[in-house]
Amino acid sequence: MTTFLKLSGGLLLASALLTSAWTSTPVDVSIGDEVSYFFSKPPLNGMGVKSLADLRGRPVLVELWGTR
Amino acid sequence: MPASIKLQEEYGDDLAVLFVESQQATQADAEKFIMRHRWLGNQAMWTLERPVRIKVDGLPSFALLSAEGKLLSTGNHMTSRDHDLIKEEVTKARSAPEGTHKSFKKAWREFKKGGYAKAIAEAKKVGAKKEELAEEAGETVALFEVQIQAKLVRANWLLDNGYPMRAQEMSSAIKTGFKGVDILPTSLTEIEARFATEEVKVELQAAEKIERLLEKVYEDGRDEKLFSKLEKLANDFSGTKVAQRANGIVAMGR
Repeated sequence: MTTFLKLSGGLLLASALLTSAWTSTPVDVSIGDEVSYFFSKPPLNGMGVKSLADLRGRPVLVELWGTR
Repeated sequence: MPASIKLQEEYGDDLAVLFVESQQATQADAEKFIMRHRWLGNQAMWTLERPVRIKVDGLPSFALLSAEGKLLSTGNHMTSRDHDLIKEEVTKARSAPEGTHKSFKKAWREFKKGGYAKAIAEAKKVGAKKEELAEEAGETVALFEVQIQAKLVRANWLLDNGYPMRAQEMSSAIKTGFKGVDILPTSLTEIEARFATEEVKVELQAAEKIERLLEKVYEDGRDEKLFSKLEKLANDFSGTKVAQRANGIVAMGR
């Protein structure tokens, strides 16, 4: 457990650096493509979610809808 | 209510649902719309930013991403095959990652159940027993630790942003996962210490009252009487993060 913080801190830092390089511009994607996106404003009710990467580990359903 | 909200409620934490307003509404208009339709109060997320461009015309439309972030399916309306895909992904996400040696399956099962100390001990045991698996054992333990650390980061975020009850639930669950272990991860003892401070105790008192009222606001939609009650409670607990959040909901609904 002594290496816990060092190790996880390093990996989280690496992950943050990777995340910061991710795009805030959506790109065309096809089935099988990996999707990455960094939100410029965190989603409402997102509880701190800043990017699609934060949702890894469970499937994500993105629904496009309209208010009109 | 959109079918995706029902799906989110059905799967809970196992499925993330992100709604993207795609008709150029302003943030304020979209929030009022969501509030009026009583679509808050669950775990679905809302944004105006389209994170993915798919080759589907018209609204509504959807994109389903795997637990690893790959595009699985798109369309205007979900079919039974899409529902099956969600089920498969949820099942996969609950199991060990693909390619994991069978000797680590028990450790992963324990980890997914929340038995963190047992999972780490089990992975280390496998590594100690079989030399050829020592490297994978180290990687598995590192993965466990990173995921636990991410949960603790999230619990701290919840505490810092007016969700102390959820933060406490999360922290307690992690602590339970380390039951019987003498030396806990530093960040777990740190968050536990935060819950013992007067500041967080007041946040928890505020949350207990305000969350109850917030549930009614989510159920009843935009109701001035409820907004006034919420404002009064926020005033009683002025200076807390919970009150700040309650005021934000009032501003959003009005």
